[in-house]
Amino acid sequence: MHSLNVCSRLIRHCKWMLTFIVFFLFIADTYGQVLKLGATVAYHPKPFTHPGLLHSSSDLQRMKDMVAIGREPWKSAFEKFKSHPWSSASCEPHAVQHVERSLLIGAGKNIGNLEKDVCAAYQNAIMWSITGDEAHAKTAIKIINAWSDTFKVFDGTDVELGAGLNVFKMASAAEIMRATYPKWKQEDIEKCKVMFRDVFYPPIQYFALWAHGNWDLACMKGMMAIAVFNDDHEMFDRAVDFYYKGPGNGSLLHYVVNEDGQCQESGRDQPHCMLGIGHLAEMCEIGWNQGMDMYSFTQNRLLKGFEYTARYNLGEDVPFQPYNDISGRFPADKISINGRGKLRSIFEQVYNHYAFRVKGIPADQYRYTKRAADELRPEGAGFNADNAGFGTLFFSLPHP
Amino acid sequence: MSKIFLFLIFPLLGQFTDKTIRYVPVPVPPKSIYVSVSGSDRAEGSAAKPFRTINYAVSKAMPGDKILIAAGVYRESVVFERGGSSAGKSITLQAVNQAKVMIKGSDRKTGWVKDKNKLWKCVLDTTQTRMMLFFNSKKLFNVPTLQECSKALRWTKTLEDGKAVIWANFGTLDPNVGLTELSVRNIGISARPGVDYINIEGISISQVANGYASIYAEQPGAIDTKNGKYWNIINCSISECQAVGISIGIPGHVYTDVNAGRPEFNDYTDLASVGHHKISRNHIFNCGQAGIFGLIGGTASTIEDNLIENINQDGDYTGDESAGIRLAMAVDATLTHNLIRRVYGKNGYGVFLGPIFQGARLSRNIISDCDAGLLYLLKNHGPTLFDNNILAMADTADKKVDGVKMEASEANVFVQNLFYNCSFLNGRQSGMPVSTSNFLPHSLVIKQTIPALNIDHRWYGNLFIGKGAGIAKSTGCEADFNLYADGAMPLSWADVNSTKAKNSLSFRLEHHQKGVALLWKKEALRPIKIPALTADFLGFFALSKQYIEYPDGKKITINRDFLNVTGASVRPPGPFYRGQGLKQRIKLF
Repeated sequence: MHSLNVCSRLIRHCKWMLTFIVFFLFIADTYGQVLKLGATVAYHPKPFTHPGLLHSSSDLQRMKDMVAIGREPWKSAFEKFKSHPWSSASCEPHAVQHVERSLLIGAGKNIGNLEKDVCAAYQNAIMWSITGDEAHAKTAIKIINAWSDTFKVFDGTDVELGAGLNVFKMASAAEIMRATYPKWKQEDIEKCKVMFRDVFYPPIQYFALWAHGNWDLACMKGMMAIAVFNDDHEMFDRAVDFYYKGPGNGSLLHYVVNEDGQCQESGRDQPHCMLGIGHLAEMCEIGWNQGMDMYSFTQNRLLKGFEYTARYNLGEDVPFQPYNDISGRFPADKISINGRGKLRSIFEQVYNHYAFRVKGIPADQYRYTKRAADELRPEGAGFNADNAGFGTLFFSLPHP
Repeated sequence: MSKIFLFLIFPLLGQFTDKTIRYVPVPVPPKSIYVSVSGSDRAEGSAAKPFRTINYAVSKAMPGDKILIAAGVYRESVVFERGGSSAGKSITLQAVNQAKVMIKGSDRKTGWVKDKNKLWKCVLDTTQTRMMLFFNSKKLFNVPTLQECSKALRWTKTLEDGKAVIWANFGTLDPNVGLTELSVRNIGISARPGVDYINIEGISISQVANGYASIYAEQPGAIDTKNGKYWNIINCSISECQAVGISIGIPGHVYTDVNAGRPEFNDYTDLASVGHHKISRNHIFNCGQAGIFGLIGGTASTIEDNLIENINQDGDYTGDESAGIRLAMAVDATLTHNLIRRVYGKNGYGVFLGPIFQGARLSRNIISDCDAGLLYLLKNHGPTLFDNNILAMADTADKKVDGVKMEASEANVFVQNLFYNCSFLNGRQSGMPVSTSNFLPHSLVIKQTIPALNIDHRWYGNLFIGKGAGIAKSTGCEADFNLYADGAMPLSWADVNSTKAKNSLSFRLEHHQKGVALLWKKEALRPIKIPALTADFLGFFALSKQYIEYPDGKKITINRDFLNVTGASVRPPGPFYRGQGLKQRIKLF
């Protein structure tokens, strides 16, 4: 009897740990790199809201208004944004028929062209929205149309990354332009949709189960972006389903692997870790703009990932549990110091969401995210096409 | 006069020049070229006046031609200078009317001088090192010293004044009276590099002294495709060769400084320009290293209905690339209904695949009695399908030897096989793993280069007798709907719907000269409900972006058994759907 009590006390005491162990064993047993795709839940049966990727109409209006009245931090953030080369209306497209993102020596055809162009299209779309200067609208449309007319083949060893990252930015540009610039011809919009569906989507459709989580995540956010622009609910649900329970390293609970906020790539290096949680946050923002709260899944697990990563990169120690990822390829027994302290422009979005948009989250739950955002403010560009960047301009919310 | 001459000659010259410039070869209808041991290379190669040597006939053959060879022993090397131009315009080398045509790598050797201690001596005009000695068609055992020649049918070699001297013990027989043959050629049938579309049908090749092959070096074979593609090698017999019977490989090389940007085997990029061979109904036996061997040539090739046996029976080969069939870079290779038995040596496997055999399928093969194991699968991302095979370790095999050895080999799908005394090893590469490439489906376009692990295997609907797979749980692995008999144990971490046979199956294979039969007590087979083994059920292998598929990309459903019977969902696991409706003795090959 006594031993039974001890046992039950022990079980009660270690409940969370046991839950974690059982969960881990379950996923480790079940997955691998074999995908069994069934019908997904209809997460978003309603018509999509447009523009509805990272920026809703009200987001775009807020940026415009705050910049117009010269309020901080938008004023400084806009200065930084405007001075960035890809925000210039003089950007020209470099569209080609074939892009390759590849690790193989001598390969990697035209990927630089595409990355430059999607960033320029996106930043010019935002510039157009804030300034009303049609030159920016024309540049954004010119770039998108050039690629829609030309681009046919996307391949290479790392095509999932290339397709996911780049389509996210190009679709973000297209989503803003379609909603705000009626002169963009319908036939060109249709061509753009076809390019997204036929060139960008095939490489990302099966995610990247063998890779570090940021690969899955690039696929997922690219998929969400295409889905919203193309009004493809099935595609949208596929990406959202993967966020909640996908078998790869990129689903939320496989990326932010525990309640401490440790990330699947924490043991790899810090820039990839920030890239990954940045992707997750971008997915959540799309979901938010479509009326879904993906941020709060599993007691705000994403925020825990941000806190953990920010804290470590701000110089503090964090706990680390040895972890082997879902693919089994990337065991890590200690946190990596590679790239530590080089904060990426991802924190402002999540800080503003928790500090000013949702209610009732105690400040100490996002204090490191806030500190990282404070340190970077105003945030600059995302690294190439990796993340949206410019979070201070894009995501700052007025303080109540 | 001269003006008249010029007037006449100019139009003629013009016409000639015009024809020369516009010359287009007139298609020559395919012809038959005949060869006979009683012919002459100065003859015209007709049925009435055949050539004497096959090699001369080959030199005269053009695309679409057929070389018909009369019965006899041809002591020569045959080397194709050119090949066919398409599948319908192959050059064919064929035994006429199924005559017994033998190409030998040996020459008859006379002039033996009796020495002391039952030894005979023969001085050669060569310093050739690789050779074999045959007496009355039996291979003599090569020993390193004269002292060891004291027993009959042994020989050794010494050097005297720069010449090789053969010392041999023929027992009580006189080598000058019997048929004594010394292998002197290292090629049976081969070609210049890159000769395509060759058919070889019904030819026997024997006693070729070819060197050992390596995936990372030269790969000579008694028949050697030499970097050609679309060779059909059918109904041939290859025997008593020093190393490899049929090589479909091209010379490999060691890769230094490999990394993800410069992976191993990155020199082959176009699937259409390699492999596509058909190797069918051949008998390969008594060869010293492997029956069929090759880097890249297995790609998109079909190897079926071959009998491969007694490989490395003398134990001369001590390297680690010995097997009935040894292939690397064998994307979409299909190995069907081959009987492979008795591969000797501590590294002698039935089938040794790898690195890289994405999309390969092994179906309805019978592999037994191989010293090192029946399958060795090395460095591959899969998927690879193994269905309806019968893999039987010898009763006398070392109990510690696993029947199937998987090393850094992912996504091996085992469906409806019969495993007898056949445990599995599922390991990763030791030390720093070398990254292994996988390709876009059904191509050689590198998609990813990452270390291969030991994950994502499948075991569905198999029959395990004597031993179970016996492996620990590994990421992404699944096993179920299997039947275990005679002490074989299900996997503790899987096999939820699998069952155990109540009675012994008393399984055994009954080998005979050209085939094998299975004997068992069929009553012990227990039918269970097995789900449809479709490609969807087995899963989408995300790294390789493919299901279990045919080379044309169509999904495979495993709905036929070893005997080509279609089955109901309730049936005994293993390669025979009929279960108790079977005979007690089933002819397998």
